[in-house]
Amino acid sequence: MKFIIKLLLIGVGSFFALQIFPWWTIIVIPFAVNLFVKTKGSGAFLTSFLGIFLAWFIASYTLYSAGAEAFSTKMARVFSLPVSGLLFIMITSAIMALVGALAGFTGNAFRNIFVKPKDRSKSKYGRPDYGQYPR
Amino acid sequence: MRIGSKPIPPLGKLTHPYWGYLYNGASADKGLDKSFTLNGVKDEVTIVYDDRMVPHIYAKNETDLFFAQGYVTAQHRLWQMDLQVRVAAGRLSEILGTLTVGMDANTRNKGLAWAAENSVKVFENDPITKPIVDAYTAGVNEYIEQLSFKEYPVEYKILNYAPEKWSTFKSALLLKYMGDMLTGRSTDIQMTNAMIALGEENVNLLYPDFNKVDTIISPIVPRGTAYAPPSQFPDTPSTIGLYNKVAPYDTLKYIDGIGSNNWAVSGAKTKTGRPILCNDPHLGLNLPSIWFEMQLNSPGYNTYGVTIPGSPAIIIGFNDSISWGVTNGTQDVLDYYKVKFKDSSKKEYLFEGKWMPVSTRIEEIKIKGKKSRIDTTIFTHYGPVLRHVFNDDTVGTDLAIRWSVHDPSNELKTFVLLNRAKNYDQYVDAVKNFESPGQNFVFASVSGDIAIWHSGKYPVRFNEQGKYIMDGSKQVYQWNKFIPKDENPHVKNPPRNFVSSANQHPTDGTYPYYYYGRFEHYRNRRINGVLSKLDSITIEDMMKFQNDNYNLQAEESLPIMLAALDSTTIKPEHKKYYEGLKSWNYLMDPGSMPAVAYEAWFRQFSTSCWDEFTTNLPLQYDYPQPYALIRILKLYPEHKLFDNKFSNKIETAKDLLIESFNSTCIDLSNWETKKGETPLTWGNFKGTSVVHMAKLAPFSVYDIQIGGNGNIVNAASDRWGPSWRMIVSMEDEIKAYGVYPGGQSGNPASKYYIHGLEKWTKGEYFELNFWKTKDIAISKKMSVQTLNKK
Repeated sequence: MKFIIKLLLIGVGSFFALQIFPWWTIIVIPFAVNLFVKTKGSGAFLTSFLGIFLAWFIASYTLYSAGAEAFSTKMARVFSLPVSGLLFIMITSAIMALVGALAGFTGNAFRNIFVKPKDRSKSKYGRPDYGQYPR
Repeated sequence: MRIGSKPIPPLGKLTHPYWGYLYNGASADKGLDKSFTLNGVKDEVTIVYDDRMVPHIYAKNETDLFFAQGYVTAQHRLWQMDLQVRVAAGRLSEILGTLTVGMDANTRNKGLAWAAENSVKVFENDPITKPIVDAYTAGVNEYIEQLSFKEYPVEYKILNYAPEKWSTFKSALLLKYMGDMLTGRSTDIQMTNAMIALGEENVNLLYPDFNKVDTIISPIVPRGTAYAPPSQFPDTPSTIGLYNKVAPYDTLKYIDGIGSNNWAVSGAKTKTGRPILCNDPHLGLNLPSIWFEMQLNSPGYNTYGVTIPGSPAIIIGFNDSISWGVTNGTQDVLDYYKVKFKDSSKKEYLFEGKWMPVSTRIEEIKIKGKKSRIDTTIFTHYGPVLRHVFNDDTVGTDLAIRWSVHDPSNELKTFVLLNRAKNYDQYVDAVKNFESPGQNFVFASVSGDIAIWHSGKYPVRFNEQGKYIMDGSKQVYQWNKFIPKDENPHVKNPPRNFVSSANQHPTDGTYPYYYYGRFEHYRNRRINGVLSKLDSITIEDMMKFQNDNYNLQAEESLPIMLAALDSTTIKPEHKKYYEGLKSWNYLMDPGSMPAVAYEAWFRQFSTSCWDEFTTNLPLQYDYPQPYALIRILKLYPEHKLFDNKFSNKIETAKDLLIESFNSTCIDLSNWETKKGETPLTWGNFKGTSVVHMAKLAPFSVYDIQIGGNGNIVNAASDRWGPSWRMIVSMEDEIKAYGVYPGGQSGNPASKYYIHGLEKWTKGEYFELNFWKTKDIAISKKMSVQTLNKK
């Protein structure tokens, strides 16, 4: 459930925030959401990736289908990618999603460093659970 | 970020789903029917875009008209305006990084920005041009001010920078840049090198003043026209140049073939009984296109034609009464002087026995992501000292240039006056203002006059002045006087009933002033030959002729070349080239194979003739023009210049022709093997391309199947070509046709980006909509923008 909420927060939030803010919105939102809403590190990564991918792709697709189809193919060629315009916006969405995912993961890690766990007893070792954070 | 030296586009900004390139794609060709409320207009301005997106601007006063020209141009060509200025100002490195620092340093050293600063003062002190440049600048700037990031042209997003404000300086700089493009190269260094290597006799044979030595050339002012005695006389020194006293210099190669065609035929030769004017200026084939088509209309002003994005007014076009067009004058107006400095500090130089102080100009070249580079250019009274004669810092440190482009001038005034001109006298007033780059202005009027003026500011030269590097310490070598503008070559309503120019000699040898240049020898003779035979000329005849692919050079040289071959010794696999050449009609059509064989063979033959230029020094020479080579091939086929100095035997032209034919055949069959399915045709071999200004391949078009070549009337070579073909019939209701290899929009996503390219390739035209009033324009039910006062 938390996974779904997080995904929606990141995805829908980014979709609208991007209308007002520059591209680094997709760093801020996953980072913030993961800072405040707890999941495991893998959950943070996945929700951020999927959320940003969907937000970026759906928003891009709106303009893409409104007359930018052929031009997207040309832009793919500017990046030396011999792919269709649609695949190009999928690729760029995936790249941005990866950036967002790393931000989400970092947000989660920050949470684990700075936010005091509510219930210490859940930790087997009697200390904060760092989740997947590599030590 | 960068890979190697190439900057990588900023991915996040560029692909931003709402603001990135997708916005440029989705918004292309939209907004042509918007209304804008602006500070800069006094009254309502209506802009009607026709079905090719040509703006027809209707304003109630001239200030609004030029404001709107700026506003509209910026809407469609902002990035191009910005980039051209950066090229001309040597400011590319600010956006591209270290890649372009050398280029920027050379541009600045050449002093274009200094020249533009001088011209700004002239623009601003002239009551005609001052309000126009101010209004134009305000129009561009008001557009830029209200621009948000998402609306930036996509190139800004790719290269990651922002538009900056326009200024009169930038307009002046663009006009100076045109001067650089058309007169910025000179062969003084190459000729000096040639004199050192070949000696006077050979130089005079290979690089003569053709208007003095042969009777085949066909000057702009018809041969035999009488000239009034000159009012000015040069002082003549004892030697013409310094070729006996200087070491050879390195330099860039001179590029031949930068040219254009224009002509006007009088009513006596046309079907309608009215003059027809034609012009096709040949320029670099770039995208966005160098030209932006437009109609400018306000009370007392109704002009149609092409504009240069960044400059007010129509540059080539017509109004209700007259039409005009330009070709490059091709005279050498850039001279090199060897300067003697007192010491290595270069603070003083010798002139007429005195040490004169230099002035300096500090150039800060800003480099993206790096510390700025600081350069100093030294100025003598001639002009800047070329610190690097082009690519090498170690040579050329004592050569100053005197260049007419540096002089303060007001070319804009010429265009504004032409835009308004009603008759021949007003046209003459306009073109007399024109100084640099020297241009041949062709003219035709509804009232039936035709004329051509070889306009420009030209020094009164002593014989052969400016051919070689000159002594900078003596007054006699400098430009002491100028030819009065009235005495520039010109002709009005000649008996042959047409006027024309195609970068050839403006006059025959009887013109009383000396001039020099690398003039063109074939297009002009083809034009004059055909026009003198044509009668009852129609617009369709002119369309066909602007696209004429006939190779006069081949007609004059191929029979001699073929005669050298013995058909029985040609290898069977090479027979097809030989047979093709033998039955060739001399047409450089895109599908022609013999056209390739001829061009390739002539090039090889030419290279094999000029072994004299092969030295151990890193020198640059200019091969004699093909015309000179064919001339000696005809006159002196056994001349010792044909002997290859590296071989043991004595060769004649015949030996070189046989050798070069054989090696050409091998090259051509290698080409065919390599290309596989692609047939060996002129179109495929030449590979005409129209290339985006940032060299972005996806925004460029390659391998366009068009015929012609640099010395053909249809002057489409690989990267140069007819940049605007225009035909105007001077009837009471003017009929005009035009086409250019690109389109009105600078946005690569627009359907108008290369809208005209296909027709241009096929030799077809658009009819130009010259709508005299706003109401007529609006009745056509096209997109309409309005600019309203805030």
